[in-house]
Amino acid sequence: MDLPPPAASVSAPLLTCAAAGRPSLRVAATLLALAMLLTSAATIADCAPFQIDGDRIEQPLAEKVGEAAAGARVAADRQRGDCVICHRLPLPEGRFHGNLGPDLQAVGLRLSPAQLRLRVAANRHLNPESIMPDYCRSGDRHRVAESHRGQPILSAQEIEDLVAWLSGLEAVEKTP
Amino acid sequence: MRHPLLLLWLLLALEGQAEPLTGQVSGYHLLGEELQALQDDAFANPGMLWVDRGQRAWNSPAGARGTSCRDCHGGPERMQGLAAQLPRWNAEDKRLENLEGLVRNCRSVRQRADPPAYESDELLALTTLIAYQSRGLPLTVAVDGPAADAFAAGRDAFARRRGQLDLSCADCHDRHAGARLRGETISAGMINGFPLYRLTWEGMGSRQRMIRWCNEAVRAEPLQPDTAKALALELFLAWRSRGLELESPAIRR
Repeated sequence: MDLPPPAASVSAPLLTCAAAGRPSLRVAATLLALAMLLTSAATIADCAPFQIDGDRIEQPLAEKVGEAAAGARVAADRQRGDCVICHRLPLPEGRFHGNLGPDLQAVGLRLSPAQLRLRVAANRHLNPESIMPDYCRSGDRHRVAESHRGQPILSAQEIEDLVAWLSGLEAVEKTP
Repeated sequence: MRHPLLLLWLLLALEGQAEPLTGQVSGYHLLGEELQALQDDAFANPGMLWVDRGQRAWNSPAGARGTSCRDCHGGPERMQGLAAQLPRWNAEDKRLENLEGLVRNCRSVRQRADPPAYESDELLALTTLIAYQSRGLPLTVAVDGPAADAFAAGRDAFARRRGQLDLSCADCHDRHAGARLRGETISAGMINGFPLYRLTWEGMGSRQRMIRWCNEAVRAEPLQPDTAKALALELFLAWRSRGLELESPAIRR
C-alpha cells in the first residue's frame, strides 16, 4: 500500500517507522494516519499539518519553496500578515511600526528558518501567554466572525514566503 | 544641538521606550495637547453638536402620546449622575440596562414611539445630552447583589480570547496598554468618555460601538448591543473605569 498523500506526512513517517517490517501493522498504521488526517481536517483546519521539534518546525509547510519578495508583501499587507502593526521591519509601511513584538530588522541573524516557521505558525506553543497568535492554526477559536470561520490567518504558502523573507533580514537600518 | 536631553527624550519616544500604562488612565491622556484642548473647549468640541441636538429632542413631543422627555422629567439637568452609574440592574426586567437601553425603553414604553436605532443621531443626541449632565462625576457602578453574575460574566468575557486573531480584551488593554499598534498607543480600555467623538469614525459612538469595533478588529463575531453578554462586558468595563471622571462628549482617536 502507498503512503498517504503528502498532507499526512506528519504522522505517517512516525507510525510507519514504528511498524517497520510488519506489513499488517504498516497497513493499520497507514489507515490510522489517514483517519487522523480526515478527522483533523474536519474539525481543525490548520494551514497545513506540521510537526514541532523543540522550538522548530523543520519541514516546510508548503510544497513550493518560499519566496522572499512575496513574504515582504505578506508582512506589509494589512489584510494578511500585517506584521508591522506589532514589529519593526525594513518596509516602507514600517515607518509607523508597532512595538508590541520584538524588532525583527535583523531577525535572520538570531533565528533559523525552522525556528521562524514555528514562531509564525504556532508561537503560542512556545508561550501560551504571548499576544502573538498562531498564524497557521484555526482550531479552538472563540466567536470567530463568519467570514473567517475555520480559516487560519495565513496560508501555508504565505508562511513559507514570510519565513524566506524574515530569515534573510540581517541588517539594522540606521534611520531614526 | 542646544538641548541634548530633549534629543535623547525624542529618540526614546521614537523608540517606544515610553512608560507602559498601568492602572486606570483615561484615554484623555493619550490625546496630545491639541486634542485635549479640543475636548475641553465647549465651542470647538464636535461632540457638543450632539448635546445641542439632544436639547431639542428632549423638548420635542414624540410618539402616540405626544409627550416629550421634558413633560415627565423636567430639564435634562435632572439626569445628573445617571450616566455615571450605568449599566445597572433593572429588577423589573431582571436584566442590565445601559444608557442606550434606558432611552430606547422610555421612548417605546412611556412615549409610545418607535425606539431610535442604535448609533442613530437621534439616540446619540439624547444619550450624549444625558451623559453630559454627569460630566466630571466619577464612574460608580454596582457590581454586587443582583448584578454579581453579570459582572462575573463580563470579567470572563474580557479575559477570553476570541476571533480569528485569537486575542482577548485583556491581551491588549490590560497587558499591553501603552504599547504601540502601528502608530497608535493602545489605551487602557477606560470607558469614561462615551458617548464620544472618535476621529477614526468621524462621528459619535456609544460604548457598544467601540466594543463592536474591537471585535471586528480581531475578526470576531460582533456582540449585539442589547444582549446580556454585551451588557455584562460593558458593566465590567465601567467597573474597570471606576472613579474616573465622566468626560462625555470626549474626543478620541
